Amino acid sequence: MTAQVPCFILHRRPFRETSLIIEVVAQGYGRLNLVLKGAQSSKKSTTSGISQVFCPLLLSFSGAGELKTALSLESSGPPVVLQDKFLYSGFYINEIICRLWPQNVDSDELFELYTTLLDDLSQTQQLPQPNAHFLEMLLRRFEFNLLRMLGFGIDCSYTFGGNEAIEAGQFYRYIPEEGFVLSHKSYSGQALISGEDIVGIGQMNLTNPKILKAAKKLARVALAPLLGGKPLKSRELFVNL
Amino acid sequence: MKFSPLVSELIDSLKGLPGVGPKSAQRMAFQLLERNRQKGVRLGESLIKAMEKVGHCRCCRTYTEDDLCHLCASPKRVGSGLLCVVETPADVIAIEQTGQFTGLYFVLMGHLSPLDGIGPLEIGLDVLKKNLQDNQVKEVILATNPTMEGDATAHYIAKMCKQQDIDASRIAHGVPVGGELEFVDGTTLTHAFSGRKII
Repeated sequence: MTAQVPCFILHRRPFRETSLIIEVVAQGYGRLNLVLKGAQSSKKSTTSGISQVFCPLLLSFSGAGELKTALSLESSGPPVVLQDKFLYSGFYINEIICRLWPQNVDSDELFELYTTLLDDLSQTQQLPQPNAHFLEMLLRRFEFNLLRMLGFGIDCSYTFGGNEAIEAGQFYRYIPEEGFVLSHKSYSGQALISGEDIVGIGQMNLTNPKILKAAKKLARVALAPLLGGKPLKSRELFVNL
Repeated sequence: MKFSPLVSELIDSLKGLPGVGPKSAQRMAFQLLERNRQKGVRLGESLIKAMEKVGHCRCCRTYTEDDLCHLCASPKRVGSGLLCVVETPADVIAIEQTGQFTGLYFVLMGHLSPLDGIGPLEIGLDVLKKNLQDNQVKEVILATNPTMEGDATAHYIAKMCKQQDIDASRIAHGVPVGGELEFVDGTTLTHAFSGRKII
């Protein structure tokens, strides 16, 4: 049994008659899979009310295998209320972490990254419209940080192999898991990014709309091989029917 | 010991039901074979009939063997201009039992949950959009579950309604009748307070 650990639920799905299987991101533990017994029975309605995504929780658990058993789950504050695009972004982040972060790999940084992002999201949605630009900035920062933490950080100063510095005025192609390669402007691939933009991304200078757009392109290309053939479902939520 | 092929097959098939493990499956199989052959035959027949004939209602997506379910076929309900969006057919029954609602339903058969691979198309929101255009719906009542996923689904549909100038409302959530405040969790109480009514 562990002491109470701060955590957030990323995903929940029903298990047996009244139990839930929850995936959480927990401080110092990274991503965990747990069984939460009796969470959906009417007698224990207190856990069913709080075992929701975006609710700060305190968890204690036991078990050594892949699937652990939650012993207690308590709320440690009001839920982060997200709406519209910000809510869909929350689902997007949860999906990325569940798909990319390996189970049971300890990381303080992941929990830190997740909680700051949720805070930032809920604060940014209070800003007057249009706040979509700030939302995109938050998501891109998160994606690049996550890539770095997973060991797939992008080197924005040198080309692949580390021979040449990235120069403004040139065009580069990003090859996932390798790096930037000098490319001709006429190359029609999707991942062509200008040298200025790459340097801008390296400095996280995302307030510039042009650099932000390039960053989105770069993040997509870099994430694609890690996600395998299955695209992220939460992207569909941003598209209106 | 091994059972004869037909008996093992029966036990295996029964194991496919939710909440039925190997032991219960065995008990069910023996009960049917030993004491209740007739019921067993009836079960088999109705299973085959249902599996072959039951489909989804063209309008509300609930289970029915007809093209339109009896609720969608009722002219009185169509005329009411109300449409209630729920997650499962069981929710339709629950609401029908209250006798308070006399409009049409739309059954999503789930909620938006990207991690389970369920997006807007999987819960039939394209069908719903067409319904909203074709029928004379004045108000859409969003009765998805009060979970974060249910809320996301409700918001998504509300946005769809707004584009078509249709009112969308969300059912209230709060303290259950006969419950005690002391035992209600904080989130539910917060909802109950923010959704309070002047009496």
